[in-house]
Amino acid sequence: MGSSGDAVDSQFDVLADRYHEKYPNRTVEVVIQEDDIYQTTGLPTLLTSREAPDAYFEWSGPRMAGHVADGNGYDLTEALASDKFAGRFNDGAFTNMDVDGSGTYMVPWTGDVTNVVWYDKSVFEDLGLTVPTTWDEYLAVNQAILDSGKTPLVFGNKDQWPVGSVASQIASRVVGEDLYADTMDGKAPLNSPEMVEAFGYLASLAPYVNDSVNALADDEANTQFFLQKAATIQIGSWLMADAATDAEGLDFDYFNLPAIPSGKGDQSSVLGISTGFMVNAKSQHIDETIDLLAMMVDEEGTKAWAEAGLAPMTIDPFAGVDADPRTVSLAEMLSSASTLVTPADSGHDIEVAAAFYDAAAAVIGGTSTPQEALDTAQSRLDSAG
Amino acid sequence: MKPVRAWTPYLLLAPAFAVFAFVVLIPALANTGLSFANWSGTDTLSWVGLDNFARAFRDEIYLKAYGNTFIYIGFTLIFEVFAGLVLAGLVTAAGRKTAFYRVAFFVPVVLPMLVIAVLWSFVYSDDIGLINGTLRGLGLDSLTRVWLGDPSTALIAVSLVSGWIYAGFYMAIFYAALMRIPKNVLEAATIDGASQWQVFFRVKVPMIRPMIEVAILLCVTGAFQSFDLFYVMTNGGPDHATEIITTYLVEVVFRFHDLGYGAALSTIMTVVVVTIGLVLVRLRTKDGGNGVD
Repeated sequence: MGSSGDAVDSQFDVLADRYHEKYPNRTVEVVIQEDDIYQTTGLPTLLTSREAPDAYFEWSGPRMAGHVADGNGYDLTEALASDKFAGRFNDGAFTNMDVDGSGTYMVPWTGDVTNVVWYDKSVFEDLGLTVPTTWDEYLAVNQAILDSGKTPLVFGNKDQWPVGSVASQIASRVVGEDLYADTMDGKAPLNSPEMVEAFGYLASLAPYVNDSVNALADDEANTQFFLQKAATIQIGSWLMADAATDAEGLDFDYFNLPAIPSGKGDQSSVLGISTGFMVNAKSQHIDETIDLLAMMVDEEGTKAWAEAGLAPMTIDPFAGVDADPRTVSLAEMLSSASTLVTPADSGHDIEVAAAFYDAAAAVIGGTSTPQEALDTAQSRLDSAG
Repeated sequence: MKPVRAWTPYLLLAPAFAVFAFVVLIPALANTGLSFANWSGTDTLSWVGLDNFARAFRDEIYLKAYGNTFIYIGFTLIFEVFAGLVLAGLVTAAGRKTAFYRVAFFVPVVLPMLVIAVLWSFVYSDDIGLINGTLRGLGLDSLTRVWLGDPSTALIAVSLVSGWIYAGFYMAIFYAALMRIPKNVLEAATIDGASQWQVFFRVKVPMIRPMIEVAILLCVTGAFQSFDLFYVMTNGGPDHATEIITTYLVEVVFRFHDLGYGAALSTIMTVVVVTIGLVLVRLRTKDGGNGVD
């Protein structure tokens, strides 16, 4: 798996110790790589090696489906219905963990809300602002902050996924979840009138973002928010982990993306993604591996992940844990979402997502109109065949 | 003394050739083979003939990356080779006590690229950067830019950093060549009434022309291999304004997991680089290479 930081990584050693204690004749080896390496070269290399892992971390959606197609994903449906996992998950936890409705290929681990609006409460109080519930109110809030001389919204979009996530959420709200999914799966054009309309909403944020939007890294944008150089930032629930060490004294909270009343999608949808562990179909120790994953999500395991700052996907994940209320409410928001939308680069065709994110970056940077940006994106997809 | 048998040199070269074949030749051939396939790295490989190559010539981003790479080569020839030549000329003209300058100009060459990239990202920062800070201090706010976030300035901004690093390297090799020019040649030019500039451009530069040609070859092939500076400073953005062949290659292979297409792109790149290299070498040998080498 990829590293999630020392607090989380060390809990895998604890899990291994627990497993060894319960099954003295078995041995667990935990391999943790740098997150970026794991995602790109680490896992594929391991899976094609002679020492392929028995279980491995993955994001739900197409990456998981790809492993299943390659023969590296074991169907866990039967195991998850057994006593080993009894009562540990709600049905919603398995969203995007099946392949076209056939089988479940992951033991759910954690969930991340990929995009919310984090705001500096002191700025809102000073300016007499309230949390906006509609897009027009949201723009009015941004305008009021801009008029006060502050930067309303900071993004660190150097790697394109931060604004790409926002564009994903706006698009699903405006065009509806089905057309959004079809577009991201390459079944509908990126430059449809509906998508152009959706990008119009993204463009309406451009006057309020930092000039360096496409030059700044995401963690640098977090720092700008923590240093109160910007009143709001749109990013995922993992901001809480950075805030624990970098935002001492900052009074901040979050709200979900405001509703776009004319939109065809669910206006209270949540943009999020779940993670889990897959079992290698080629493993010689499938039953033993399932035993380990069952321990990972039992009450003791769940508590360990929650204390390490994660939002486990199990039932009642924060029982007996002194967790930050914002972390708890984010987890509840994810687990109780009426509609869960996945970001373009996590739930869909990655090349379509890349073109979509290019367009979003051009629009938020003010270098292209929605129509121009999406025409270019579609043209690039067409040219690449 | 015993005569050397005909096969002895081949025998002596065999171990080195075996290593070369194992680490360069065989992987290169395997990569070329993979160019004709569709493969994600873990799925079943399927042969697609020339499809990947046809796709490459339709791929707008790949073509843009080539354009950017060639523009970058143009910038590096100016900011690295020409600037290095000028610096070497100034240092040699200054005579003694130039060691400090030579060391100072060369220091960037030995710094880790990652450190340089991060350092210059701060220099170019729009709000806390040295450049914009200086401009604001001089009351020239209208000239401030988001240097790395503006498609019109990002490529030249990264190229200037490349120049800052390597101008000192080329200065060092040109300095060594300039110091080997016979003194009597320079004295004769001075006696004939040539100014310092005339001596430099009409006597010194022609005499170190072979070294300049080598520098151009190194600079051009090096520019094709550039990656880390771009990856850290801009990651190919904004809007692919700094996308060069290597950054796009990494995106195709590691983000899209399209290994067959990536292999085709790298095969094309190899052919282009080798062709350009051979042309430059050919021009150099055709010209006879007169001067101080």
